[in-house]
Amino acid sequence: MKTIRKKEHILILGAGAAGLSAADAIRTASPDTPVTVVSGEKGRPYARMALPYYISGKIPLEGIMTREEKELARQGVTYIAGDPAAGIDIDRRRVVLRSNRKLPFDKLLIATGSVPEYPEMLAGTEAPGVSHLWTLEDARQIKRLAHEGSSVAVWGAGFVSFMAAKALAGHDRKVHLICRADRILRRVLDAEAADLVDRTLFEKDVLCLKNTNVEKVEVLKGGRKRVVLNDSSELTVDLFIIALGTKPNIAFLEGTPLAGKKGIEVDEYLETRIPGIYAAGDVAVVSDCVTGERITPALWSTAVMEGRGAGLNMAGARRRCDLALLMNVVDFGGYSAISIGHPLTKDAGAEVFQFTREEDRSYRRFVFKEDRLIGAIVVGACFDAGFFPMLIRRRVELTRDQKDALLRQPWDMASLLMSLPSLMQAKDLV
Amino acid sequence: MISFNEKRCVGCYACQVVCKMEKGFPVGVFGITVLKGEEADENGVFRPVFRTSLCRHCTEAQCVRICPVRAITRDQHGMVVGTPEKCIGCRLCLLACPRSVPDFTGAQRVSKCNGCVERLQVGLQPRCVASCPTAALESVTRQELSEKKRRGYLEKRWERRQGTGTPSR
Ligand SMILES: Cc1cc2nc3c(=O)[nH]c(=O)nc-3n(C[C@H](O)[C@H](O)[C@H](O)COP(=O)(O)OP(=O)(O)OC[C@H]3O[C@@H](n4cnc5c(N)ncnc54)[C@H](O)[C@@H]3O)c2cc1C
Ligand code: SF4
Ligand code: SF4
Repeated sequence: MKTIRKKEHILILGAGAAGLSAADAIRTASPDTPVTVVSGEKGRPYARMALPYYISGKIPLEGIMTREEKELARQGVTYIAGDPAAGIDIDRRRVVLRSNRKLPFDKLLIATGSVPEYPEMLAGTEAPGVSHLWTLEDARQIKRLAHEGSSVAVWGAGFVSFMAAKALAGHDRKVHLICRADRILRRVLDAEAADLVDRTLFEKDVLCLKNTNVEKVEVLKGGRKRVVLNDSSELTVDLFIIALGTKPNIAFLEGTPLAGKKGIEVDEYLETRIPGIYAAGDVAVVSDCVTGERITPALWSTAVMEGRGAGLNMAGARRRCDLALLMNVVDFGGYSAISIGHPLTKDAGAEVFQFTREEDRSYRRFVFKEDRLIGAIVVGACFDAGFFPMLIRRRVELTRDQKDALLRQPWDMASLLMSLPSLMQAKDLV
Repeated sequence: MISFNEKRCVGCYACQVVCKMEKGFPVGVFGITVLKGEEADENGVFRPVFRTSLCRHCTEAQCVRICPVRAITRDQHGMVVGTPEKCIGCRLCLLACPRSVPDFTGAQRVSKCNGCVERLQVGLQPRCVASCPTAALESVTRQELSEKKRRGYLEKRWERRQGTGTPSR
């Protein structure tokens, strides 16, 4: 791998999945390039996606921390915490932090993640217990207020709302999931899979209110919240969690050519239209590896892959790394629902195969386009799920026999893989 | 590292059984799995073949990179090991692994092959290797493995050139 000769200073905005993967990659490719990482939040870097497990108590607070400060120092990474970037001066190549501190850079990586949407109608209801589940601060607050037997409403029916509901289920708590659509996880699961997930949620005392929306939220005396729904029923809850979706965190770039409509536009090497400035993770608009569409996947897996790719490219490599595979997992103690690629494609040329096994509530949906698997949903046992991302991402063209084998034995990919040993060779995706 | 030679495997499942005994994995969790299938030989005659799903302790281990909470790491012996107590059960490692290796206990914690480092340290071979009656499984260093691979590749190319399909041992 080529390394940079002259000592260029690399600045990374964001200490999340993408930012830290980039720092690691730069370190392996170019051990002595000065690297500075800025986090908008106070304290040590942590894994955002592990927050629900901290709330549920599966792992301690220490478990979600991704780096020790000592470790960053040992890596030779300068870490600045709690001082978010407030603006950027592209011509003079420097970033201005909120404290007005100015950081010059030769190369810059923007990896500031997403911010959750906050609906306007909630203005004036800011109170403890009305919260997103996005930052460690939010998680701490939720954990503090979620007593045994408390009642919780989660507004939204996407991935984060699901994780929040799942984390809070049990302990005699009553959890309501308020879902505007007619089913949960509408973008990643089909009706059959969503129904299975729904049944499992119900068994865990999570009640899903479908085709329902919130009209009004009031904070009552004593701190409880009254949530008025559009069917004019009401819920009185201790915790009201808002999870209505997210958008790229690029407000501080407003007025620069970097801020696009969907996020930050990048090329195959994750470089923006301004040379030396890269973007990765939730902020970057990349290509879907199946459809080629420009998307912001907002996933941990893609953030790690992009961060690493951008890091290597900033350290002098030239590696294509903008192809994203959509991949979502929801799991309740061993019963999982996994969605990979485009199982819900509207493409008229796609062939759909569905398999149900009532006894263990398993369900699988495979979507093919011209002998290539382009999407899959796996509900229930999932020990072989790791093979699907490869089939989809590598655009493997299956022969008739292979496709037959897959459809004949939909519950175990091993039979198919026996005829595709090369698939099991290591790959370098991330 | 453990290398597997499919031409020698007779599908006796000894490795799968002893691994489980050694590690005390719960029901449904295996450190090594024998996969059975069939393939046509050069005369179009079907013959049974066996392969294993076995952790390669990859140099570029995707599972290590993707784990958000560092519950899969590379230890000082170069093995890729899981730390169940740290695992949140998100299954990203499973989806990132080219062999779908990481498995999960009932409490949804990762459980995988650690290359039997504790045995290697006292001069023993990994349990699966020690149990294999046909030496299809062998304990090798990373370097030996890549040499084996190179040799395997050259042999295959030679066979193709010669137009003979004699399996080499
Ligand atoms: C509750 C929850 C559960 C999730 N579960 C999953 C899951 O199971 N699977 C999955 O694939 N994805 C999941 N996600 C999504 C996943 O966490 C994100 O897609 C991923 O973290 C994105 O990585 P990133 O590096 O782009 O941003 P982040 O990891 O969000 O990091 C952004 C970093 O930028 C910093 N920052 C913010 N603003 C500034 C600024 N102005 N200046 C400097 N620094 C700034 C932040 O402090 C932070 O360090 C989940 C998310 C949440 C909230
Ligand atoms: S679990 Fe999979 S990715 Fe990880 S080292 Fe083993 S074979 Fe490689
Ligand atoms: S399932 Fe466990 S070991 Fe695997 S990536 Fe998630 S936290 Fe890490």
